Order: sequence, then structure tokens, then C-alpha cells
Amino acid sequence: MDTSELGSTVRDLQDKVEDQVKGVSRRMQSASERVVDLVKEHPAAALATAFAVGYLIARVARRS
Amino acid sequence: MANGSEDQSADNNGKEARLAGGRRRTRRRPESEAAPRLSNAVSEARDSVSTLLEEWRDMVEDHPWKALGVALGAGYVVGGGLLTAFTGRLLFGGLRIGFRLAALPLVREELIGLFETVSERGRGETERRHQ
Repeated sequence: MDTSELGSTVRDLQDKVEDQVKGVSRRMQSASERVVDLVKEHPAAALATAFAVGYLIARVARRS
Repeated sequence: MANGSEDQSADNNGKEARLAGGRRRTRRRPESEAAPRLSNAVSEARDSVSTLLEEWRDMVEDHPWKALGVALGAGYVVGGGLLTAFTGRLLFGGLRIGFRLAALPLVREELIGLFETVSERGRGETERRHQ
């Protein structure tokens, strides 16, 4: 394999990885915006759910 | 003698009556003063609770992720998960990830520099071949 071919392959790979990373970050951003909207609309329910999740995680951690 | 005993009993009756009146008065006074005091205390408590709720809502609107984290942490602590092996694993895992993230920019810069030198060498070689 030529070094120029290696360089172009590396660039292609870099472009693909960049696209994938951008896609994932876009999805994460939209999910985080959705969560923020949900928390702002129903603060008590959201906080109670977070509290319950923390409690359950602690119970599971204590058992294991 | 009889008059003396009658006077004494009359005095006693008067004292009892005065005492009863006093008791009534002392009983009535707190009732009449306690009602507005109680209503004031209730209204003050209601005001403080409403301001607390407003502040809490503002805090949740300003920092929703922080509020969720605090609620999750509070649930975890209340559930008794603080002194478990899982907490230790979480802490050490977090530290490890933090160190890796801190080292990542250095590694990335090194890799990018390496790729650039490789691609430049490749270009130079192909140009030489064409010539």
C-alpha cells in the first residue's frame, strides 16, 4: 500500500468518524433539550422520578 | 362566733368567686389572643412555603440538570447507597475517565501531527515519481 493511499484512507476514515460523532452529538443534544423541556413543564414529577431512580439504584447497590 | 364563721365563709366564697373569675379571665385571654397569633403564624408559614416553592421552581428552570442530579443524589443517599462498593467503583471510574479526557487532547494532537507528516511524505513521494 502506497503512503498516499494510506493518507487518503486515513482521511476517509477521519471523515466517517467525524460524521458519526456529529450525528451522535446532534441526537444527544436533541434528547437533552427534550429532557430539559420535560423538567420545566413538570418539575415536581421529574424530580420525584429522579429521587426514586436514585433510591432504587442505591437499593440495588446495597443488595449486590 | 356564728357571725365570725359566716363572715369567713362569705370571704371564702368571695375568694373562690374571684379565683374562678380570674381563671375564666386567664382562660379567655389566651383564646382571644391566640386566634390572631395562630392565624398570623399560619399565614407567615404559607408565605414562606410559597416563596420557597417559587425559588425552587426558578432553580429548576434555570438549572434543570443540576436539579435532577441533586434529586438523584438525594435518593441515592436516602436509599443507603453512599457507603457501598458501587460508590467506590463510580468514584474511581469517574476519576479514570477524567484523567483520560484530560490526556485525550494531547494524544489527538500527536496523532493528527503524525497523520499530517505521513500524508505530506506521501504527496512528496508521488510528486517525485511523476517528475
